[in-house]
Amino acid sequence: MKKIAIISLMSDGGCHIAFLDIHEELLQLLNQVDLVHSYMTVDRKDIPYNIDIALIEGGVRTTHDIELLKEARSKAKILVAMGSCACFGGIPGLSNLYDLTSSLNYVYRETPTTIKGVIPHENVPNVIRVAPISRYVKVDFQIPGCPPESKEIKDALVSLLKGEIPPQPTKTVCDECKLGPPKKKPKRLRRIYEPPEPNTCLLEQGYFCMGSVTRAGCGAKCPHAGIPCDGCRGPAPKALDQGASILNALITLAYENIKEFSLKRHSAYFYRYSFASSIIEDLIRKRLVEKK
Amino acid sequence: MMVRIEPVTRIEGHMAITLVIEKNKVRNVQVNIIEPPRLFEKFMEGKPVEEAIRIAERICGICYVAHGLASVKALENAWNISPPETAIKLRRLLHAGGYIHSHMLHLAFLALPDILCPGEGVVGLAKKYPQLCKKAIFIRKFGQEVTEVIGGRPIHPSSIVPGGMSKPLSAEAREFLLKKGKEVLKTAIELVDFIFDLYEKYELLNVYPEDPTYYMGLVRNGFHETYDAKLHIMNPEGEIVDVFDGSRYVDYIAEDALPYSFVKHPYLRINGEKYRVGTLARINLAEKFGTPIADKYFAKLRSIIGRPSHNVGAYNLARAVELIASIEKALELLEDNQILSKDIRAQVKPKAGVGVGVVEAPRGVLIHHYEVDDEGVIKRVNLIVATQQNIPSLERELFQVANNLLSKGVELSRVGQKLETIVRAYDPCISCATHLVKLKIVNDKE
Repeated sequence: MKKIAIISLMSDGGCHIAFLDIHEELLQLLNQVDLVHSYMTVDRKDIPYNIDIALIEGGVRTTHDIELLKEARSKAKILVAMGSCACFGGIPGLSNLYDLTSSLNYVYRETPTTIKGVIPHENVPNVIRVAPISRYVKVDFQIPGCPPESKEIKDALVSLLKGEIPPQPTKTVCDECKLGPPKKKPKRLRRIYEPPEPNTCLLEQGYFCMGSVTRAGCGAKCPHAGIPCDGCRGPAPKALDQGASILNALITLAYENIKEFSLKRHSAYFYRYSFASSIIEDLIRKRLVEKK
Repeated sequence: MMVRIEPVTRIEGHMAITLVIEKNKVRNVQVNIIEPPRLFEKFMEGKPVEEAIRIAERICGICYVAHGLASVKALENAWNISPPETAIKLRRLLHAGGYIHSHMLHLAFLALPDILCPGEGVVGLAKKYPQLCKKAIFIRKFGQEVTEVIGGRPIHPSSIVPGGMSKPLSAEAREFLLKKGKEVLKTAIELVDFIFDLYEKYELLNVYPEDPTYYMGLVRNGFHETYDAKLHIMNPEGEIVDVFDGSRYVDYIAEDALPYSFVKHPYLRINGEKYRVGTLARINLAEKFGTPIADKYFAKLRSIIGRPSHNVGAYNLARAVELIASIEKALELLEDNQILSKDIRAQVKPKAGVGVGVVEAPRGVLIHHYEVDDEGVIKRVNLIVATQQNIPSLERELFQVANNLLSKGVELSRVGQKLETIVRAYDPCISCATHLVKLKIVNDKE
C-alpha cells in the first residue's frame, strides 16, 4: 500500500479538516492507502521513511517548522503544499509587515490582560519571518485555498497515486462567478458593512473583490454568498503577484476613487493570503540581508 | 532525567510535555506549546475591522464559526449595532453547526481510539469499527452542511457581516436540513448511548483525575447558553461568586507569559486562582439545556458526576450531551418560520470605540476585544481563547497523575500514554491558543 503522511507546520488545522471533510470517502481511502502520519488522527509521533506522498499543511514560522519540513522532504517521494499557508504563507504572512520583536513584545508583554510578560525562549523554537514552504524545499505540487476544497485534495491524491500530475485550474474565480465580470466603472469604493445590490458584480459596485486575479476552483462561493472574494486561493495562473495584479486592475477601473494607499491597511484586501510570497516581501528580505 | 512527549497526538495543534524526573519522582511538568505563534493580535492592527471577521476565523481550523461570531460581536459592541432577530437565529444555527462538527470530531476521532483501539488512532478505528465511524461521519457531515448552507462555505464561512448576515436561508435548504437533521438526531442518540455505556462498563471516569478549580462560562437564567449572556464564575464548592458583562473581562481575567510556552497562562484577577472553561464548566454552571432529549442525558450525567464535578473525564461525557443539544437546537431553529425572513441586516456606520465580543466556543469562553478609530480601522486587539484557559490546571493534573503512576512503578511509555489521554479530554485546540504533542521520550541529562 502507498504511504501518505500529513505534516503540519504553522497552520490552524483547517486543511486537515478539509481532508477529513471527504466524509464517507475517508473510510474507502483509508482502505486503499496507509496513512502513516497525521498528528490529528494517527498516534505515530515520528515521520517514517519511504513516504509516497507528503501533504504539508501550513507555512514556515519557526526553526522547528524548517526542521520538520526538511525531514519530510528527505523522506517523501512527492511533496505537496496543501493550502494557502504552505503555498504562499497565508494570512499569517500579513505579520511580515510588522516588526517581529515589537509583535512578540505586544503579544507576550503588552496586551491589556498580560501581567507578567516574557517572550518565550525555553524549550520552544525560534520565531522567524513567515514563508511559504517553497522557500526551503522543492515542492512537487500545490493545492492552494484557505482551505482547499475537500474534493480537490482527494482528486489530487488519486491522480498522484496513479503517478499522474493532477490538472490545475486555469481560470479565475471571476470566470466562475455568476455576478461578473464588471460592466462599468465603480462610482465609489465600498466596504463590506454596506450591503451590495443583488445580482451585480461586486467589483463594479466598488468592493475590493479579488475574483479577477484569484485562481478558480471554489465555484465563487463567497461572491455567491454576497461577500467579495478575499483571494484565499492565491494568484490566478497568469498573475505574477496577486496584490500587484488587483492594483493594476483597480488603477484602470477606479483611479479617481483611490485617494490613499496604505500597505498595512490594504494588505487586508490585496495580499491577505499571499504577502509572504509577494514581490514586496522579496524586496524587504533583500534589504534585510543587505543590512546584515 | 528529562522526558519529553512530542508531539501529543490526536489533538489540534503542536504541543509537547516535558517531565523532569528525579529519584522516580516528578519534580516538574511543563506543557510546552510549540505551535508557531502567528501573532494575530499584532497584524490585525491597521485593518478595517469588518475584515477582521474573516481574518480571525483563520485563528482556528476547527472552531472558525466561534471566532467569526466573537469577532462580529466585538465589532457590533464597538459600533453599537443590534442585528435583526432572524440574523441572530441564523448565527445561532451556524454556531450549532460548528458545535456538531467539532464535538463529533473530538468524540469519535480524537477520544474514542483511546478506549477502543489504544495506540491505533483513527486508522485503527476505521478498520475495527467501520459502522461506528460511518455514524460519526454522518453526524459530523451534517454539522458541516449546516455551516455551508448558512455560512456559504463548510470551513471558514463568509456570510457573517456587521449588522447581521449576508444571505438569507432558502425554503429548499431549510427543508433539506430539517429532514436530514431528524435522521442525524436518531443516530446521535445511538452513538451517545454507546459512549455512556462504555464509560459505565469500563468505569472510565475513575481513570481521570479530580481537580477542584473555579469555572467560567456563559449561562442565561440557569439555561445552557453559547451565543450571548453574562459570564458567570463558579467556585470549587459550586457557588456562583461573580456575574459580569463580557465587556468587563479585563477586571476578571489576567494572564502571565511563561518562558517555556507560546501560550500565556490565564487566571482569575480577583484571587489569582486557576479556572477552567469548556464543556465541564458549562454543565457545572447550567441547570438545564431546555431541549428534551439533551435534558434527559444531562440529568443522567449529573446523577453520575454530581455538581460541581471536577472530574476531567466528565469533559467527554458533557461533550456528548452538548452534541445532542446542538442538534436539537438546530432543529428548533429550523422549525421556526422566522428563520426564512429576508430581514437579516441592520444599517451600519463605522465609528470610534471599544468593543468586546464573547461567545462559548466548543472548547470554552472565547473573547475578542477590539479598539477602533473613527474610520473603523483597528487600533488594538486582545484575544482570550478557550484552550489557553485550561492549560494551567492541565499542567497541575499532569504533574499529579505522573507522580501517582511513577510511585506505583508504571513504566514511562505507559505514563506517557496516560498523560496524553488526559490532555485529550480537554480537546485542546493549540493553534487557537497560540494564536501539538509528540511521544518522543528523550532520556538525557541522567
